[in-house]
Amino acid sequence: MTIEKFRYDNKIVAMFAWATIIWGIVGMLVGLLAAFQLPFPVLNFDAHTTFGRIRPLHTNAIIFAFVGNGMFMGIYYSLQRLLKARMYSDLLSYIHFWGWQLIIVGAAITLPLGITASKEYAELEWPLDIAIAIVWVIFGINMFGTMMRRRERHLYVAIWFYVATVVTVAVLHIVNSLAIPVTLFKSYSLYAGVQDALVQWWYGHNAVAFFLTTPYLGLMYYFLPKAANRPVYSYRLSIIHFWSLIFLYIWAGPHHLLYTALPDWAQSLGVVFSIMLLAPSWGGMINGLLTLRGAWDRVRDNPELKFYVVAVTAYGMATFEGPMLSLKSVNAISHFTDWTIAHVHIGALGWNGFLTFGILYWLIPKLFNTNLYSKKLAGIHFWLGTLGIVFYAIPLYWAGITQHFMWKEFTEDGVLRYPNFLETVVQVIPMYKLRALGGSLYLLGSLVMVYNLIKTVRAGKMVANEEAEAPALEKNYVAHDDHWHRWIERRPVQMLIGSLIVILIGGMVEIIPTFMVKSNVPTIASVKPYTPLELQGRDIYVREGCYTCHSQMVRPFRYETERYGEYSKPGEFVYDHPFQWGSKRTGPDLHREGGKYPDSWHYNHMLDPQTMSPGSIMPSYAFMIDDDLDTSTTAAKIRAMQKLGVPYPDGYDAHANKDLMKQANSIASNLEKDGIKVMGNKEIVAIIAYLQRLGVDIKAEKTTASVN
Amino acid sequence: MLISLSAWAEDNSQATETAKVAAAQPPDWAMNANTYLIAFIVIVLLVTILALFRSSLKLIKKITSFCIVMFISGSAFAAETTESKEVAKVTAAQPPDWALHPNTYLIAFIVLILLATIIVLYKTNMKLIKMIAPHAFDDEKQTAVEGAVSGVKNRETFMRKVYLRLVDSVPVAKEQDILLDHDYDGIQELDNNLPPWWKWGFYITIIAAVVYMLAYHVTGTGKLQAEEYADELAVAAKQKEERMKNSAENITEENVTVLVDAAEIAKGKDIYEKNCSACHMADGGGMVGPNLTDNYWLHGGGVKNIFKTITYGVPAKGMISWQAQLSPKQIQEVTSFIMTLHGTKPAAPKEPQGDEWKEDATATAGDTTAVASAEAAVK
Repeated sequence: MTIEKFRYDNKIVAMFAWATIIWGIVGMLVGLLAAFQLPFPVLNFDAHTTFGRIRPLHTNAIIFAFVGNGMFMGIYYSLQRLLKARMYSDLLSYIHFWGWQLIIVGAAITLPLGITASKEYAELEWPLDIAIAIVWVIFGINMFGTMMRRRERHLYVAIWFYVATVVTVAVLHIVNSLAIPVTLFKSYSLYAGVQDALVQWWYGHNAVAFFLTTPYLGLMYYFLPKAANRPVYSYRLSIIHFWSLIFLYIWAGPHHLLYTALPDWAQSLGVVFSIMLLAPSWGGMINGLLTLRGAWDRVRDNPELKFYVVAVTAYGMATFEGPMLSLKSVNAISHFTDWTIAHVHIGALGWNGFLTFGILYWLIPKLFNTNLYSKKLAGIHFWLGTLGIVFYAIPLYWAGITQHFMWKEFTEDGVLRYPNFLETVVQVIPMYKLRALGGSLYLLGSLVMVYNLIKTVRAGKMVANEEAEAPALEKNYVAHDDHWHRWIERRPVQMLIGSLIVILIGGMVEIIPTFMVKSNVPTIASVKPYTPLELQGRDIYVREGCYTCHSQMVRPFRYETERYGEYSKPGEFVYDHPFQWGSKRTGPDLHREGGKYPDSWHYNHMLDPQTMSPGSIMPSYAFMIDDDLDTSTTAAKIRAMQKLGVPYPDGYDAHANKDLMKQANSIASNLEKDGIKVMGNKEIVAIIAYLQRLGVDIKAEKTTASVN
Repeated sequence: MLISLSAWAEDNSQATETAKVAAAQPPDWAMNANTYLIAFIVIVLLVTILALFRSSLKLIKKITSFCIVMFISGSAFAAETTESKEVAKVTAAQPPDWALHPNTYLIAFIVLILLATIIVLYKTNMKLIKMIAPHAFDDEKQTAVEGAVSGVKNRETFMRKVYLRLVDSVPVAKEQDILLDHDYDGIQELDNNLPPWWKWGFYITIIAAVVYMLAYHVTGTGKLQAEEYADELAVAAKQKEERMKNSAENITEENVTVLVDAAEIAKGKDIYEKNCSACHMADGGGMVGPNLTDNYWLHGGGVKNIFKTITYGVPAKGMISWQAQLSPKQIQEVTSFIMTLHGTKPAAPKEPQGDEWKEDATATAGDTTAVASAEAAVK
């Protein structure tokens, strides 16, 4: 047995650590801005900083920049040590690092410019999507290359989770991002309406699963026993909860679409798989917490262990709450309200945030061969963070439940008690202020950490290449397995294929029938494609991120149909590339907005929402009145839509702009009747055209039917 | 801990009730539930901060654990509050056959799970306390050990047996027996059994999933959303029928009259300011909507036509229907208020629109508009 000498690459770990910290602070700051914009709309400074553009910037920054870099930091550190090998290729490591940071910078530039695909957590446009796919594959190659050169026969449970992450994120990202490009900065989703919604939430839910959960469970399995210096509680529990988790998770996406136009069978699958997901999720929590048996006294002195305990507990809470929110009667309350926002922040602030902080407190001193500058400051950070989470979550739970009960309350006369949606918003604004306070505390804690870590780094010296040694793997290995699962732990490729098969099943069973079986989306004859002007208006709606506050999905409840009109039918969305159902109602649903108010109402409302709805917290979109509509893209957009199967007549692209101007001028003259002078070629006219079209096709159907 | 938890939950349910009350009689801040919540949270914050600064390091740790528990219980109770509200709704809607309602069982199930969770969380909390003050439970441990040794069978040892059965883990002292020969960068693994409570929980969710699918998609016992909605509408229709029967004066556009009572006009003014002034301006001068102070009416003047226009709206012209939002009585009130605007001098009157209205022209004008709007809708 020859002992081989090699060196761990610590530099790449440190680089990812800096990126984690910097983007983490940036992401939290942007989040704080969004949080303050809700109670104080004056903070929507200009077109680039409206809530509709800031909110996607925040979610993308936290998920992909903060947690993403945190994941890479932890994986690059632990993978090398668990495999007793340096990363496969330094070049690939650096391409991965710089590629990922460039994508983040790209996101930070394009999202405020309104360049967005409008699919939640997948807002980036197609060139960036391709870059993500390439960098991700490079990461995968680097990881598998390292496995091939490993000096450890078996793959540890952390690595199973890493493998599942790499495979699944690739599948999710590619399938969900498929789109027809129109220009360099604009594309249309390959899917429409119900199908687009299903694919999006299959992705969205599993972005939570395979970007925020599985890699972090892997990190937990390395860093928690390391810090506690205790053996992992149960190897068998690791096996069972790993496979059941990745198999069941992928099915649960439709629970984001309960009581929508998604077919009932798909909704029910989402419900039952979410219920079954409870135990596998808790498997991770109990394996983590029970690993601390006999080490609880050490939690007193180790700041990292304190953070881990809260992180794992928050994980357990969020994964208990998740299945509960998937029950239809509970979901009816939580969906579209702030309850969901509170729920995800238990996960993001508690689980991802605290686990990352714990790792940083442990890792940075190790990388710099020194001790943490101040345990006391780490304790203060722990405190501020925990209080921050409490102050963030409780007001939003309160707000969500309050708002729901206000939405659904009828008077004895059988009319809505709060017919004006705004009343239900004004009621929860104090909660928004408290939430912003919670966020501020959390950010303050993070800044304390930054100071602490800078001081630590100053005191030490980076060990860029850490010496290590291990025996090479024997050529003639005879297995003497204590468990059948050892077999696959020796075979990275089989592990990859195994997890790929396991995660494909759920997605295929749900997605394929929704696309192939016609009865899932019954067509409605009166639903027609958008006119060129409406299409342009719709793209403005997408650009402004209106979906971040307005849903387009009237659910089949009396309190919704009384408020908004007929509930939404699957056949109404067949030309919606991408769908705009939304997931949160900070403002009212807009699916039946068409014809509800005169054009001049919309004009005044866009100019200054407070004039039409006193007390409204919607930002002003006055710039739409000044900005010319870019009609140079109309022909390309029509052609792209035709490729997607939208039945515009052949050659319509050539004279689409003529129709566009005709409709625009008629709206302009309509506005003029109410004393508003505006040229037909302004963006405001297009957005009014789109809003007036929303949900009216089905009304035509009804009237025709009743006349006949 | 548990006492503080329940006290807190109680506090919240009270506050929720206040919220309902506050909603009915809006502006007074003292009636607003949010005020109390904010006060409550601020007090919690102040107390914790005070405690933080005044106490020794040990105490800080204790409070930390308390905070974690508050945090855990916070989300648990948030879910619980919802459920209890659901129960209230269900029983209020159809008190006699609550036993038949599927939600009852669902809620019972959730409550059971919640109770179990609270117990688990309580246990976790105890662990946390042990970690912070390792000697806090020495006495208890002593008795437990003594009990086991002497074979005394009291309730505690029975509970402990059940607990050990459910957890089924090898004690730390004996873990060498189940230590696997796995070693990953110094990390070892134990071969503890799957915790039975976890394993059985998993089985139960699988069974629940199968039952759910069967109930909703095979036997048809469970109602899918379209059917639920139809039921909801049927209940509402029945309630409406009841209301119609009971109300002596059932106001329609046929029999509506102008109110003259100042209090009722004031109510109408309030409704107008909340709902109408955005388009018609507070003084009725018109902006998006037409001027309501002049002699000209697009859809007919007079109490009956105005009532009708407000009730059904004229969608083609941008006037929305208010019958889902305002009761007939409220529409009568706001109609009466609007009629008091006639002849007043608004700050910026919109030019006249529609036909001049004379009080004796009666119903014909109204009929034509109705026909016209119906035609417009068809188009």
